[in-house]
Amino acid sequence: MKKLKLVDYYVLIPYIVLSFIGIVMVYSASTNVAASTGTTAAAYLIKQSAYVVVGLVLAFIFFRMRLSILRNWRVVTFATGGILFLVLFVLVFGARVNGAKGWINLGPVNIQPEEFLKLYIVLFLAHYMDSHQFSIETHYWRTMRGALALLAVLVGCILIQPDTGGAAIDICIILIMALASGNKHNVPMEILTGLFVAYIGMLSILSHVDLTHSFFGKSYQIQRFVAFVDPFGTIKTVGRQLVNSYYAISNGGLFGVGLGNSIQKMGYLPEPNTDFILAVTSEELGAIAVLGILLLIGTLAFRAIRLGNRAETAYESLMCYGIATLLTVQTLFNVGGVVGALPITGVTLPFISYGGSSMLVLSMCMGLLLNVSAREKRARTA
Amino acid sequence: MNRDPNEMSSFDNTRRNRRHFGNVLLVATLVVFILLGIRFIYISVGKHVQHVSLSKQTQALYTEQQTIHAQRGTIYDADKNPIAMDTNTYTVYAVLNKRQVGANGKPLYVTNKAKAAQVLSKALHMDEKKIAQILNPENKNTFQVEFGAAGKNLSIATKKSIEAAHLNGVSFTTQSARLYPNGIFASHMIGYAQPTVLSGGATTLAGKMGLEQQLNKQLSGENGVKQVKHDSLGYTLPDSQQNKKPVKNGDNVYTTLNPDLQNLLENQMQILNDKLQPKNMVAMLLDTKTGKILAASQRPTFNATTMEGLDAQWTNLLVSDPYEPGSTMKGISLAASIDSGHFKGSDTYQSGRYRIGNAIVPDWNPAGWGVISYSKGFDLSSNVAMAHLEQQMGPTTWQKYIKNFGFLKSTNSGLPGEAHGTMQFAQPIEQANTAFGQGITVTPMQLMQAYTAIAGNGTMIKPYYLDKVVDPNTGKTVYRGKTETVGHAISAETAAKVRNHMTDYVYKSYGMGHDFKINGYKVAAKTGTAQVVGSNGQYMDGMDSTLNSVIGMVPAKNPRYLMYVTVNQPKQVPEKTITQWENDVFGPVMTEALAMNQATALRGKETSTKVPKLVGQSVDDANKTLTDMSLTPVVVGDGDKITAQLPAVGQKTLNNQRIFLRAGNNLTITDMKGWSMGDVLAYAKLTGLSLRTSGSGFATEQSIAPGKTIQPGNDITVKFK
Repeated sequence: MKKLKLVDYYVLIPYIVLSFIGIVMVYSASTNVAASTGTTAAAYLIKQSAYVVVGLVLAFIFFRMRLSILRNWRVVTFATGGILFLVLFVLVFGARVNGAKGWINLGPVNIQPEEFLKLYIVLFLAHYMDSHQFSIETHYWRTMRGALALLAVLVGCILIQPDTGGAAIDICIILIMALASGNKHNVPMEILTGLFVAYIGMLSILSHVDLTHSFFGKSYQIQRFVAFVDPFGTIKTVGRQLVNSYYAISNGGLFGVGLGNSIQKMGYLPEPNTDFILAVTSEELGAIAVLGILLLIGTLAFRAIRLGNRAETAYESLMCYGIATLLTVQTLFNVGGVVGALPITGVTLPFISYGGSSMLVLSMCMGLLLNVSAREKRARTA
Repeated sequence: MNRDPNEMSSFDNTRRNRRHFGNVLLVATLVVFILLGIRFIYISVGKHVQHVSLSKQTQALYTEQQTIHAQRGTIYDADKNPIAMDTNTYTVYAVLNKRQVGANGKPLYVTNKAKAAQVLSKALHMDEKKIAQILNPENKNTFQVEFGAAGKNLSIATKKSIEAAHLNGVSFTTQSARLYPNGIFASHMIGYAQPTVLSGGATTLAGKMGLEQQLNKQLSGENGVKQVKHDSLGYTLPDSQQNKKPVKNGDNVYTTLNPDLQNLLENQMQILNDKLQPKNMVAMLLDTKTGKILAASQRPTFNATTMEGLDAQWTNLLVSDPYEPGSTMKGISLAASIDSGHFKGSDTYQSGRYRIGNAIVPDWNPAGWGVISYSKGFDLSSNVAMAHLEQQMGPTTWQKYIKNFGFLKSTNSGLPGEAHGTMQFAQPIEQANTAFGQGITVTPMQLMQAYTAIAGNGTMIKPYYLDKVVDPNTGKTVYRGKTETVGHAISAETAAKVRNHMTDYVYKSYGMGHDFKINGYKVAAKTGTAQVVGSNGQYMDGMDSTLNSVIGMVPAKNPRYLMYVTVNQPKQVPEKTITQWENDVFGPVMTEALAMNQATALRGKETSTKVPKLVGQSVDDANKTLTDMSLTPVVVGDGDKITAQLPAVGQKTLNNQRIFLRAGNNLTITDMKGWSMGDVLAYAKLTGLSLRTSGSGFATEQSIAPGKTIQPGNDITVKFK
């Protein structure tokens, strides 16, 4: 029980608070969804609460476990085989939801392999790169290509579901972690600058190209770009989601219309309890509350990077960076979609959106962060 | 594990690089979260994205402006029976598309076409085969069908009869419409309102003629606006209803028209119109004490509900079509002559012809009656006498009287399109012509107004027909019609003298107005026969080219009622003289008015009661109810239950008045001896008899003997004396 005293409250408190906000907002945002699917908002409340409870148990297990267990070759092999099976299984037998096969239906619970894949990527790359850190230094590409090929296959399966948003997050995690090997000095800054320039370039090109009537106009993925560039022009079709998200944020103003009073969730806004839960939150609790949520998620990401910086081993360090990237990129893709800064990719918001797989994976991540933090504290105090 | 220094430094290097990477990641994360936060604040506070105002858009998205249509005001007669009222009509349509299915899987299209055709055929009076044809169109993709004119303007009763069959896929659209329950009832004066499409696509009733047009604004009221917030499916969100502007229903208009007199007038005019087929006719009955118009009508007329007959005559002849009145003007000329002190009734003149300059003033009898007194000249309706009177006064004085009597200017009745009239007055012959009603045009309204001075004490009273206008939202009377003096044309003494002459005109052996006598009363009257100017600008020849008229007031000593009847260019029907024909309108209506007046005067207002609801009661119960109320029941038909009654429920009636009840369909006619014309008219209406009358007063003979079986539509003639 000594370890309990070493609990990192910068991780634990945001995690608990965010999970609680998530339960409340899922309950509130589900009213209309529940009505149209024949269940009740309370059913969503109970399910999400259950996920949080199970998540807390998992977080505790991952907090208490020895990290070396995760690096045991049997565990790694089992995890690799398991995730490969899940990803392929979902591709063949997965339930089709909103045009993409992302879920494995297990009666009352749906498993979303993509969520588990994210954690797998973090743990696998951390393990692999730590194990091969010397050869990486000398023969980076030759060392990395095998691991990257395996991940490419997995992410490829996600991409053809199609789950573009999930695949993009995976690629970002892989990219960031691959760059974090530490064998070159300035590469990360250059890469990030490059990404930023690419983003600005994309915006300026898209705003000058008439995508709607181009050859690509019919593709669903391209349509998302069209909606992102000109939501009001496509308000009846692909722009509907974004415009209604804007409406929700505008309705809420700084302080919101009050919990439960969202109008936009009453059928105007699609996926009010998952992809667009932040828009509903903004409408009901105001932009201030959203800033609070962003601050809490940001605190977790920050803390993860700080733990990564301090970590003794490359494994822990890379794992923390990976988790930070997971949190940041997923938040960026979700919130970016909600506020029209990025195309809508159907990504959920960490801790807040309704969903079991996501909550369980994030809880495991939090457990790992607490685990690393405790080790570092013990090392410092020792 | 031993590490060589080289390795060691490489390890540190890697760690340092990784830490550097971590710092970059930290900054990038910070930037990401800050940018997302700023974007959130930007949208939530600025409420504008890409120059689109989000707050305006949401306002438009959530709220729906629902118009609450104001009800158009009802126009009532003096007994508060509706003359014009709002109603709905329905258009039936049938959905054929088989994909039209309700939430519970119930089909919303026609499932049984044979049954639908059968039911609709009965309700719409349309051929069943034709309906079956419509229900099975050649184009199989037809979504829905309508049934032409037969399927439109359906009454609520027809709609209910179709609905009772519970046909799948047969539905109705609703249109607001104006109902005129009396059919023909002062039609040009009341006018009509029609559904009119507004700029926004909505329809509203707009007055197009008469009172409906004149008071369109008050009758229309103001539509209200209700703002409703709703969700994406159109369901109203709780607590979101908000009245932005309350609806203001249109004002109710109460006219002075007496329903009994008006119905009688319409009936009598119709008979005369059918018989003589004149170009047009006008009649108007005025209460001289108040100026209230009690009845007014014209022919051709129209049914304002069906619009039948509207094409024949658009003009409101009461005010809009000035004409040369002819000899009815002589009462005015005589009044001017007496009032200006020029009239010497016993002085004589040479009748027949009178030369003024190059022109000749002829009497209607060009041979004349020799040298006669002016008084006799008036009674014989001598033009020459009037020409002399005019010349004795001089044109200036005469013109002053024309003006003082209110001619050549609007009476400001308020009715749309009121005309002023014109006059040719330059030459002495023209001035003389005006004295017997040629070369000057007037409207019936002007003439009636002028004659109120003669009927009263010289004070001219403006005829009016608006008793009051009541705002139904507040119950307040926003306008109240009142007796309005418009001038003092002559002295009271003059008025009495003119009335004496007009009485002589009826009662002297040689008087021209002897057809207008009424039993028990003295009548003062003046007739007129004006030649009508043809299309070539010349006066036309022959009896069927004259405008025949009579103006009369009763009782002559102190007139209560003033009535004017014109028959323009009638066919010659040898049965009776034109004045006798005219009296078929004048006599009955005037007699009925006098009878009503007497009844009111005798019994006083406090004994008037309201007619109870009798329809549905057994005959015995109804008889007892009425007897207890000192009313006299008259039952027609051998049924056990009352199926119809007249007067209607709630109408005021006086003690011992007859209440007509119908029970069933096997009708035998009642003995009508002693009944007033109003009673006979009500009886005919209840039984569906087509009534013809002759004479005036009370019924003495009926063409179908009492006790004979009758069928609706049978003709009956009743003589009155």
